[in-house]
Amino acid sequence: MMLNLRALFHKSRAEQEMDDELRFHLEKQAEHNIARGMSAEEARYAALRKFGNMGQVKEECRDTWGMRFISELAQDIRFGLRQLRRNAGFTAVAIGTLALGIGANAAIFSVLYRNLIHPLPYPHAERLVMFGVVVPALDSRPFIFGFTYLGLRHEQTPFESMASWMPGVQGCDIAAPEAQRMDCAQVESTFLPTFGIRPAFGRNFTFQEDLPGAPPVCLISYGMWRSRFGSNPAALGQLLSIDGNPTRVVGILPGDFEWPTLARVDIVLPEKLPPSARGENPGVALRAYARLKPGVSIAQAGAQLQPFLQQFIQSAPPMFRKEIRLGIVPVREDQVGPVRQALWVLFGATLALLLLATANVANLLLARAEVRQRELAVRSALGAGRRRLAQLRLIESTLLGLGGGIAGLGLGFLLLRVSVALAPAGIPRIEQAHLGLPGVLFITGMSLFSGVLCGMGASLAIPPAQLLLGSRTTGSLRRRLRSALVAAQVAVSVVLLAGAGLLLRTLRNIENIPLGMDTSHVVTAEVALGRQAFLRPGEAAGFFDRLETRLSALPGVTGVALSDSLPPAGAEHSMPFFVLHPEGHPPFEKGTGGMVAWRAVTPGYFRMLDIPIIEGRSFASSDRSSQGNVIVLSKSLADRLFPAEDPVGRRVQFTSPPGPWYDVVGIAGNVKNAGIIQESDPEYYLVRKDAPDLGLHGFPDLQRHAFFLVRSPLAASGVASMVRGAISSLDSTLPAKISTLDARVGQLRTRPRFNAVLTGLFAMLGLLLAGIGLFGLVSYSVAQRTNEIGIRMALGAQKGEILRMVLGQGLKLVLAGVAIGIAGALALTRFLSSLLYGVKPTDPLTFIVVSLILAAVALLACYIPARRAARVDPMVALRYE
Amino acid sequence: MGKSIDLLQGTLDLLILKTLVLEPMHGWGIAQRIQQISKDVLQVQQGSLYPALYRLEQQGWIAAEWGASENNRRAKYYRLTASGRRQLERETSNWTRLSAAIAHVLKTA
Repeated sequence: MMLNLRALFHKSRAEQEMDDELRFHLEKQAEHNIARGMSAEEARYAALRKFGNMGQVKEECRDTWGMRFISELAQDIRFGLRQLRRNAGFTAVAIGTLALGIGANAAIFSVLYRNLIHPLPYPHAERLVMFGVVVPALDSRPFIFGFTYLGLRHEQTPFESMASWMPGVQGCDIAAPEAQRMDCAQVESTFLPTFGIRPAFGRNFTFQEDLPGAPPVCLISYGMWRSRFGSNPAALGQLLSIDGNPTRVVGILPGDFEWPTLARVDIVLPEKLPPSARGENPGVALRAYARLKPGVSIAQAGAQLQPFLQQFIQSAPPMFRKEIRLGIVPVREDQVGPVRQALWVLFGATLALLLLATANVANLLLARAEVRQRELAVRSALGAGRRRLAQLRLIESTLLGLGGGIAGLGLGFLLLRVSVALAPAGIPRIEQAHLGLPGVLFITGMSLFSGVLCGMGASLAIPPAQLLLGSRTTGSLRRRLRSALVAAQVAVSVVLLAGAGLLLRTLRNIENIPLGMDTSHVVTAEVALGRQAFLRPGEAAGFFDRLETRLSALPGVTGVALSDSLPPAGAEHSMPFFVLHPEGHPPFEKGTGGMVAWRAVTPGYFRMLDIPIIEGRSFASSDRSSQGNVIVLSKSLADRLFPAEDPVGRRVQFTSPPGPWYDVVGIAGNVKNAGIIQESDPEYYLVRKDAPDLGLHGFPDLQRHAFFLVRSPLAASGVASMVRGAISSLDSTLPAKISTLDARVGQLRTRPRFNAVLTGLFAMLGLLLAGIGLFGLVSYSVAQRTNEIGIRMALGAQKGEILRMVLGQGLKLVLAGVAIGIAGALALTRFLSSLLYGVKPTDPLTFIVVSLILAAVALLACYIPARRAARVDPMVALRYE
Repeated sequence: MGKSIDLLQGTLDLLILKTLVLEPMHGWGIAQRIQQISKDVLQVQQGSLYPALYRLEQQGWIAAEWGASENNRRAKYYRLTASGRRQLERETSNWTRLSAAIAHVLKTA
């Protein structure tokens, strides 16, 4: 076969040999002619004449090369298929095993591909970046203040185009014919051009329309166009009431348009950045995107932006300056940075699983090679060379691989659906991941790879023909190979199990993190008033009061409270620590001091969430109407502001801008407020005041937005529908997002759960495969040694000794595998470290438990055949051969 | 030199196999040997010899190796394989039966 491959792929070599051979022939003939008396030249011509048409001969010779290869291949494939059909049981097991490995790979690969490899849906997306300054205390992603941005826009920059976005997607309400809460984003007119996107219909809004005071226009998403306008082109030019503001639809975004942060956006509005953003005041904080000029690297861009960074640093409050750095992040990195690691880890786990499956099938094939000795001998005697036999093996295993690939395709599809169900918010774009062409190509590659790999052992182990002709061969190479495969399987299983174990411990740690509050039986409703409604002073607060009263009156409801954001998902508002000035202490001057979260809540808030008041008191209803200002500090903030003092009764002032004094009335327990696994910020609480002045730190929008917390022992779904009813009875056009606090908390655990459940699943499958492999090997060796065992027993060996002998043989392999596996796992689990929480990558407990689990499974896998060995009847055994 | 006869394809294969029974030989040698033994009656068309050799090699009946010729030049030697030997036996008995049958027909008809 090698010769033919050479002929096919390196034609020149074979061609050369043919030429040599024919030239030799002609020379020989010429010599012959000379010997018969011709002149040299005559002789040469005579030889050529005698030979005939050289070109035609060569052509005929060449014809035989490819034909043999193809006909042999076809023959071997037919034979392989026949063999596989004849051994349907074996084939099913092998294909099923490979399908498991390939299917898992296919599913994870398609998610990985979609996120890390598949081109972003923008032309030349590699040049798209998010840029700005990073101030870790404020935000881990780059942002930019309006005045800096406007300055940059007029200067020479490394960017071909730039666009700003008011960060975040805000809820907005559209009215008539039916009220709906939509997701609105405000961007600059250069946003779409920067991303290289044109509206599917209509146009982008213009620079003029992006100026303050311009008539309102908007673009809508393709999905909204379909659902709200039934894909009617007449939607263009229509007026849409957005938060009560009639806005003309000028364009429809393309169907495949993807927001750079992957957020859902229904309506795109002009940003209308006020020109006054330039000046003393840094202006609003923006997210900025840019398209690098062709050939400009991120590092070069960074160098060009240094002057702006310096300028920004100079304008920043001194305590911030040290922490400020430039941030230029590729759009893809901004999207998938946090899950990149998890995806690679999962992919690694599935590759390990595929290796295990391949090793298992290789072992099965090796075992079968033993059984098929006789057939091999016959074929060998019939003249089949070693190569041809090896080729046969490889073809057979490749067929298995392809079968596994086809079955794996189906399994991968299912697994993908399972993953989607598991991880609604765990992994970006998972809903979009599908087994497209790249997936199919990948599966084909994996199938061929695993097919060839698992046939390799069996092919290598084909002994030379002479050995086959002997009546019985030792097959020691095969046995060694099989043992090595089993040890390798055990080793890979250890790595998989260790990884899964660490992730499971992480999950458990995360589930057990004390949140500092009781989240059960709390239904939440997020209500935001439209920008054009309830505008008269006190109207909004009045509405919230009426709603609160109505909710409190619902049957079964034991408490209602309002807050502007909910723990532990992150606080909506925060303040640098240095701004807080405790009475009788010097101002804080060591940098920013980090951030302090704050919320404005109604007095029932602490009781509602069961947040303990450690000292002093909670807010009282009278605090809402009183002229004075009161504040409740979290324990950690109190300890920082008033170390070794009793803070209750002391006062705090906000110094930038200087404000009134706040009386500390109480200390509340610490609550997770920056996410579950993040370090929580110190926190303070203000009371939501009655109309008209809510005293909310100068955030006028606060009084138009609130989370209602409703505690009730009744079933959440029932409470939710009552809450919905209460809201629409007050204002039927007001949309509300209703959920439970537990669901919000659960969502934060989605990603670790996704990681742990999937790797756990893969590890279980891997363990099963390793167990089956071990079981197969030991059973087979027992069957082979029946004779020997019989003799031993006839010579007086006890059952226990036989049992120990067989067990010992298997456990030796297991121990070797575990040792290698632990070394491998120690080397590999450090890649997990960013996914772990509360457990070290080398956690000894995990490693011990994993080894014990493997040992137990291995013991079981060895015990069953060992017991069979011990039951061997010496007489039967001796007659066995 | 008497009149020579062109060979049928299958016959050429048979003759090549037979020629290789004793020792490995290169292409030219095979052609020469057939001619000699048949006392020049059977003229191997040198052009059709090589495709035949390649075909037989593909069937696995003969195998080729490069070696040194009588006067120490590089030449490709063909030898009979085990399955080639069996093929030769089959073909020989076929041929014997066929020629006997033809001879019989020619004699009696």
